[in-house]
Amino acid sequence: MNEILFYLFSGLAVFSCLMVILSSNAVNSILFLVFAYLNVSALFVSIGADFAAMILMVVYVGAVAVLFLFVVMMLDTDYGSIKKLFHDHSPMILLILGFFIFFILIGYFDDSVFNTQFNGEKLEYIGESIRDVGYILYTEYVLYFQLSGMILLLAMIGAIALTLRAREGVRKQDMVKQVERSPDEALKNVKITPGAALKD
Amino acid sequence: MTIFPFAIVALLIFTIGIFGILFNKKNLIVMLMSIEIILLGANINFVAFSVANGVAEGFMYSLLILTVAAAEAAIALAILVLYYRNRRTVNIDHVSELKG
Repeated sequence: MNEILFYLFSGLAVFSCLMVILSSNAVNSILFLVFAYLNVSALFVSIGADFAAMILMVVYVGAVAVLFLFVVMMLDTDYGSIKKLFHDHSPMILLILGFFIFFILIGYFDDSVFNTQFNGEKLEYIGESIRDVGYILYTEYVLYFQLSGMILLLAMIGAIALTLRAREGVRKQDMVKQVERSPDEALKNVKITPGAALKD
Repeated sequence: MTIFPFAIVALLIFTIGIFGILFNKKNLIVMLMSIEIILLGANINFVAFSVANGVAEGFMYSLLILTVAAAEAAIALAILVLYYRNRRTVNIDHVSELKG
């Protein structure tokens, strides 16, 4: 694997993730999010994880980012950027930076964790591994698979039920009411006395 | 090439997402995008370690993360549309009105 390509794609991915947060326009943020996804899937391709890269592209760029884009276009948002960066989160910042440095130190001093090599044999194995993913997905982890299907169903029903609204003043056809009508209540006998309309 | 640079990239992206949630004071949509960035960082770790160790479980967990991320984005954007319909704004400052 070419290391220059790795640094290029990872640098672009980190840069565009930063721009998602720092950009003052929400549409720009979404476009940078799409760019970050593209770079990360290029990283996945470069280590031989084609399947994950394609799924990432289809699901995120094709579905989630477009969903965000639609919502941003529908809503009239006020575009606020990060203004007061260090005002009341200073302990949190120190904590996160501490974790960051801690993990880097672990990786630097403990060779056993991160020094797994990407070698050619395993890479070839992974290139044909869609079958293996499908196999473990339908045998060993079939409960997780069913559960993710249930989660998607729940999300679909929830999103529809949340945004559905019954508008008032719209005339709609109601089948049940139509069928339930009987001649007794639909017809009314009116006695007309001759000349009653002229009396006023 | 070792897996260490990949772990660093994933950690950077994860941290950027957390910082985006912490420091965003105005816009709810950017906050949701930060959550997506966090899940992306987790995904990079799963896929990279799965490739390096030659097992397929990491891909499966990456698929599950994608499913949950898509469901969460759909629900959150529906709530956002509902909130905007009632309030005419998506400012975060007014969300905590139920606090009492």
